[in-house]
Amino acid sequence: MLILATVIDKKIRQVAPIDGVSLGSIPDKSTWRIDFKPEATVQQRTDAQAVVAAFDVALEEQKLKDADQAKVDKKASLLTQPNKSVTVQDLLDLGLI
Amino acid sequence: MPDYSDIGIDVKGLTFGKGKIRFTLETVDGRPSLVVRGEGRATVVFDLGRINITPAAGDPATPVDGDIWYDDTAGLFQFRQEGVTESLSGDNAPVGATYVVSSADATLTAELVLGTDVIIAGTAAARPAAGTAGRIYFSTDTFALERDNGAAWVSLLQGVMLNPATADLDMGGNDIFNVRNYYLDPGGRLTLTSTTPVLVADAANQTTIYYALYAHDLVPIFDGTSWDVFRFTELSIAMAASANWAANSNYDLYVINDAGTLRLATGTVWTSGTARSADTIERLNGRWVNSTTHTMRYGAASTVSVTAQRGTYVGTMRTTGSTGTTTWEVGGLAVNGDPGFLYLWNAYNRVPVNLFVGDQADNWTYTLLTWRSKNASVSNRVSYIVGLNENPVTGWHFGSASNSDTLIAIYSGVGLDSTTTASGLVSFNNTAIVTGAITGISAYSGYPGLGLHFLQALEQSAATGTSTFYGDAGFGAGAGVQTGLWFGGTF
Repeated sequence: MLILATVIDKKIRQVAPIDGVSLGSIPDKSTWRIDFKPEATVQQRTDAQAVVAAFDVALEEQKLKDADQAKVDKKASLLTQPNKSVTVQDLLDLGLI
Repeated sequence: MPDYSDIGIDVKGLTFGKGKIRFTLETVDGRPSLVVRGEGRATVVFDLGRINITPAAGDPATPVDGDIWYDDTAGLFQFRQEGVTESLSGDNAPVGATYVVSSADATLTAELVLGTDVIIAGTAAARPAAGTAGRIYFSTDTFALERDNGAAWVSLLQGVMLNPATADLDMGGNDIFNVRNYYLDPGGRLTLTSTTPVLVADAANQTTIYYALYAHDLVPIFDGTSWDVFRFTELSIAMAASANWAANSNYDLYVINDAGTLRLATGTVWTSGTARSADTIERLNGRWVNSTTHTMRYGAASTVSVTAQRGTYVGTMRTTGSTGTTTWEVGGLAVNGDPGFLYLWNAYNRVPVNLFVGDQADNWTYTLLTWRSKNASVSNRVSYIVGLNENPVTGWHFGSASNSDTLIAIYSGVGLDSTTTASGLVSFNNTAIVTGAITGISAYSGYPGLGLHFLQALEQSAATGTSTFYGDAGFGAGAGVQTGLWFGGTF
C-alpha cells in the first residue's frame, strides 16, 4: 500500500505530463488528485482521468503484496544458503539497489 | 515734669513699682494720649477684676509691634506681632502663627476643628456613627482613612499610598487612582469568546472581539498629563460583518476613555498586510499608544475621534476574506491539511500557542528538485498576525517519503511566507533501499516582522525514479505515520 501512488504515478505519466498524484484515501478515488504540469493539454488530462478510472486498486495492491512477499521469500531463500554468493540480481530482487 | 523715680506713688488705687516710670502726654495716631514709659522691664500691674480697652472702629493707622486694641468694626481683639496685625479672637486664629505644644500638655482634645470638618483619630472600633458630613476619621489600628458623607463612612485611601512625592490622586468616576509613572500593564486579553481570555479551541469566523479580564481588571489610559488607571469589565466590539472593516486587512485595537465610557476600538486600517498606516503606535512611558489623533471605530456605525496618545494599544487583528470577520483556528488533521489561522494578537499578557497541521492524505508523488507546498496544498500552513515584532515563532516540519530507486535525495523544508523557498534548517535523506521510507525534519525559528505571515510545510525530491511522500499512509490518525507542520508562537 505504501507505494501504490508510485504505481499510478507511473501509469499517468505515460499519458500526461504531471508533477505527481495525491491519494487522499486510496480506496476512494474521489479523493485522488492529479497535479498536472501547466503544459498538459485537455486531451492529456482526460486520458489521465481515464487511467485513474481504469486503475484496479485491489489488483495493484495484490501485485505489491506479491512483490513484497517475493522479497520475503528471496530473503528466506538466501538465509538458507549461507555460502551462496549474492548476485546483483539478488540485490535487485530484494530492492536494495 | 516732676521726677518720681525710686519712690512709691498712689494714684487713685493704681500701684506702680519702683522702676523709673514716666508719664507723658503725647499725640499718638493723631489723638491725645497718656503715655507711660518705664526703664528696662519696668512692670505695670493692674490688680483689677478686668481691664477694658475702649472699642474703636478699625485698626490703628500705624500700629507697632506690641500694640493691643479692639477693632469694633470687625469685632476682633487685635494685636501687633512682628509687623503683622493678628487676632486673638477664638474663631479667627492667627495666620502663620507658630504654636508649639509640648508632649506634656499636648491635649487639644481628640478633635481639631476645621470649619465644619472634623479630623478624628482613634481605633476603628471607636469610630462614631456616620451622620455628620465632612468629618474625617483615621483608624490608628487599621490605617483606614475615611470621610463621613452624612450617611456613611467612605474610604479615602487604604493600604499603601503609591509614590507620595509625585502621586496625583483622583477619586472620580471609574478612575480609581491617578499616579504618574506608576507601572501597570493592561490586565485583559483580546479574545473571540466572551469571558475566555485564552482560547484553547477554534473560534472560527467571529464578528465580535472581546477584551476579557485576565491578569487583573485594570487598564491605564493616558489623559494628556498622567496615566489614569481604570477598572473595567469585559469590553467588546461588535463588527457585525460590517464593511467598515475591510476583508483581508489588519487593524490595531485600543482601549479608550470616551467621555467617561471605556471602549474597545479599532484604529485605521493598515496600508498592507505588513505595514501600519501613518496612524501608527508609539511608546509612552513604556506603554504603547496611538501616535496620532484619528478616528477609531467601536461599532459598525459608531466612531469617535481619539486624541494622540489617549488610546492604549492592546493588540492587532486581521479580518478574513469576509468583511468585519476575524478568526482563530488552531488547525489539525485533514486530507490536504487543516490550516491554522491565528488572526488575533495581544500586546500584553501573551500566552504560548502550539499547534500542528497534519496532512491525512495517504500518500502522494512528487519527483522534482523544486520546492513546493507539502502535497501541493497551501492548507499545510499556519497563518498568523503579529502586532509587535518582539517574540519568535517556530515551525517544525516532519516529513516522510520513499523512492522507487535508491540513493535518491528527498527534502523537507519550512517556508516563511513562501511556497518556493525554504527558510531556516532544511533536511534531506537519501533513500537507502527501494520503497524504503525515510524521515526528514526541518525547522524555522525567527522574528518574521509585523503583520500577516505564514509558515508553510515544503517538500522536494531529486528528479529520479518516483518519490512518494506520506501523509498518514492510509493508517489513520494515531495508527501509523502522520506527517505535518508543528507551530509555536505567543499570542
